[in-house]
Amino acid sequence: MNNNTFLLRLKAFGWSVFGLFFVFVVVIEMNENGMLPQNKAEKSPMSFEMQQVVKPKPKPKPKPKPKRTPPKAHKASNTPKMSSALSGIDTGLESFMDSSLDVDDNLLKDADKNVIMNESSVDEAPKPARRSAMEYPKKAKKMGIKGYVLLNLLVDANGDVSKVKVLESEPAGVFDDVAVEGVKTWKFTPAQYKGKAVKVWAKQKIRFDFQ
Amino acid sequence: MDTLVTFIHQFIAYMNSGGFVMWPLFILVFVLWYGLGYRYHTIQRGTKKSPRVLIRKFASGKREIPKGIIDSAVVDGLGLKAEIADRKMLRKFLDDRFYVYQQTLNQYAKLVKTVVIVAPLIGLLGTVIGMIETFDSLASMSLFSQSGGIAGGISQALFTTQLGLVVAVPGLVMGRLLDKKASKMELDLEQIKDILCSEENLDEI
Repeated sequence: MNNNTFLLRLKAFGWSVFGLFFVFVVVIEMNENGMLPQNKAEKSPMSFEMQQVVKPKPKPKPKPKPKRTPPKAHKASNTPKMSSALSGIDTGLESFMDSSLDVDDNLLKDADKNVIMNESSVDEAPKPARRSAMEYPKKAKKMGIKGYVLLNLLVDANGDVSKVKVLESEPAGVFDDVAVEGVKTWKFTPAQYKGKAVKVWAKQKIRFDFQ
Repeated sequence: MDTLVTFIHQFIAYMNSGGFVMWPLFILVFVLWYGLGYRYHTIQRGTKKSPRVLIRKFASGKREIPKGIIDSAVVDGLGLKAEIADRKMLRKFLDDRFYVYQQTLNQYAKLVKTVVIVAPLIGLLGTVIGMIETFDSLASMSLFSQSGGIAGGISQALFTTQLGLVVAVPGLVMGRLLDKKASKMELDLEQIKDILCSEENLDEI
């Protein structure tokens, strides 16, 4: 009888070892992804590649546009102020190109210090001077997703990135956060306009790809 | 062998990520399955035939060696019946003798039930601890620190709940199955008592 109960307890012990294995195998299989230390260690090399969005630069039109044309007194009296209403749009109409509007560079005066320009309006586009590495999003890496993000950056006169907007991304939303966070740490050579550094909106494409 | 080593690594990583609540749960798993295994081996009916048939067989000497609880109860009951001349006292003696069997049937039943209830509660405790950590980190602004922080606190919270549930659910199912088996066998024991007491002459059964 005594021997019998001992055997019984031994069997029960075997069951409890089985139970331990069962429970922990189930649990560990459940969260296979994410918590394994060796998965984190073997980070496969990956790269992202920058690509300046090359835009056929339209050769400087008579710029700046008549933003604040001093309305002449006699015109203002009988015509609606079309010129100011339409100033932002390049309609290509002859009348607005007319020399009678008397547009010259002095119109901007000191405005170019504060005005934010875009890539096509500056003499020299900003170029990335220092790029920091970005981390490939884990999920995308696991699923093998490649893609790109097209960003609009506001590069200030010091060459820092002060604002980032996502213009386009493929696939949508996967790399946006990483790209935005990463690009904020970059340093640019500021854009030049008439020999001075100016603020500028610049486009930057960031590709995410495995190597 | 390699898979075993990686499994142990994963196990340790898992236990660490859940905080100190994981170790009580680990012990509970051990206790729970010990109880379940013990019950599984004790609750063996022996033969599948009904008590009536069994009594006739053992009384007529066709079978000698009892194999399970019901078999040995029948043998015991028949022996008792042969000893006790007073038929009115027989039931009380049988009650006395069969109490041991009932005890074996219910051994560790309470333990299993308790563990099944307690395991998710301990998991919940781990969750609460993890949440406290999360809100601490919100207060101290160390949001993304390696240990603790929002992510750490929440993952700790979820791991403990997960383990608690994974411990409890199989235990609950197994425990229920064994309970059902045990209650059926208790009914069988009652039936054996009734048959032994009521039938004057076993040949007529």
